[in-house]
Amino acid sequence: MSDTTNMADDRLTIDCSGLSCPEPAFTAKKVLTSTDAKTVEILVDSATSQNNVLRAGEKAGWTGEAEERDDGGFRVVFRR
Amino acid sequence: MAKNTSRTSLIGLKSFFTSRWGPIVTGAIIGILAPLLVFWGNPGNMGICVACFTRDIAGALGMHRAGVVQYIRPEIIGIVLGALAAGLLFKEFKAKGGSAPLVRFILGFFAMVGALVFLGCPWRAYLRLAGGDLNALFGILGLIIGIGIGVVFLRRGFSLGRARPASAAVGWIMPIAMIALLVLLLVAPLFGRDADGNPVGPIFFSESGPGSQYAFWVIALVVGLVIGFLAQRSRFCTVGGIRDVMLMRDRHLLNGIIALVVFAFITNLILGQFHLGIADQPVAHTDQWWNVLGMVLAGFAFTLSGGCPGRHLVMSGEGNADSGMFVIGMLVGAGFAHQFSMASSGAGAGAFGPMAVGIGLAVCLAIGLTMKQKAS
Repeated sequence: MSDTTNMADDRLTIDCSGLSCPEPAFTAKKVLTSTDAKTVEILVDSATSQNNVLRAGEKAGWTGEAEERDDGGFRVVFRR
Repeated sequence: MAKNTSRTSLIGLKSFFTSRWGPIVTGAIIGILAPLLVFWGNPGNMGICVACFTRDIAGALGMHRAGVVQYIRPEIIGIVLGALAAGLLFKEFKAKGGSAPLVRFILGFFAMVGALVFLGCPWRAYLRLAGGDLNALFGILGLIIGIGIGVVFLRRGFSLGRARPASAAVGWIMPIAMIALLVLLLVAPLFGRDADGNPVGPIFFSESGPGSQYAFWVIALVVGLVIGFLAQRSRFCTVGGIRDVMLMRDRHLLNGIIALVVFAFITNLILGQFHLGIADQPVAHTDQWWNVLGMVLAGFAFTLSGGCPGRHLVMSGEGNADSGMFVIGMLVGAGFAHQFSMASSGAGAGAFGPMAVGIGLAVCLAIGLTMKQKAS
């Protein structure tokens, strides 16, 4: 399980950087099907995890978009 | 302008392979190329087998002395280097490591032991089925059970922990080791012969048996490069395909497995290589308990490690040193599997295969029960 690093203003941030498959996508699925937050942000370190997290989120009924971070990782943001 | 056009087509290619078609196309191409490799000289139903071919490499390096399974397989080299090329081209090559490397080594070791009790990695299990070998059904059943056990641990929060970004050198070790293997294949150094005229190494090549059957090295290397490139783009994974259905009801990767079986079946029919039956299948045995249990161990270890052996080869090519450790664990495991009579043969399970499967399952259970992600 990955850490919750921040929850303020209905925005939940979860850092899945460096975790092996299927942990980032499975974490995304668990969080997105249970959270009350309006916005969920998931940090990953590879394009593979970014695609997997986006797919898991969209399956859970969220709309997601990904952006590259300065360190080469990705931030996937889901909004209701 | 020209730069923009190539950039646009690169992005188009990128989104195609991450779409639902990526794993399907990759599985289909593996399904066509693997039976063709058999047609061009590889052993029966063994166009590509990550476990068998890594075992052949272990034999060629003298890590075991099973004289019939020694050859430096260019397919393995090609898969890693093809993934490296795709990783560099699409800017996904990223050196990283440090997620429980020694545990990954041990998982690779026992995954290989389990695969060699069955006689094949998941890719070969599906290729054997597509060639008419019904013993493969027992291996696939075992694989599904093993993945299911792994999924139970994933649901409980199993994790090998985070990998960290690393210096580029960390990511280049496996690709460079593959180039070294290619040099050893082509140079084939020989230090001399014993009194009976047998080569004393350091590189051993089988004169009979599966290790003596191979396609011309350039063809094998090119096929490996193509598969490694496509698998890097599509994240093709034959363990993830089953795991994701169980864990997340996601069929994305499973479609790739289905495509592989369908296209390999059709290609085998066209080439006259489809032989339905249980007895006398190439490089296979009919000891069904051990076909099942060997793959239970392998499937469990693959799932804890995060992917099938082909996927680990690909990730080791895109800079993932943890997958590199898994691959090296498989290589060493193959050496032990034959030296300690744990690997099966056409006659059935090896003398210590059953004991090794028991030990391997106990080790994987211990790893599964004790490793969870720590809050950092």
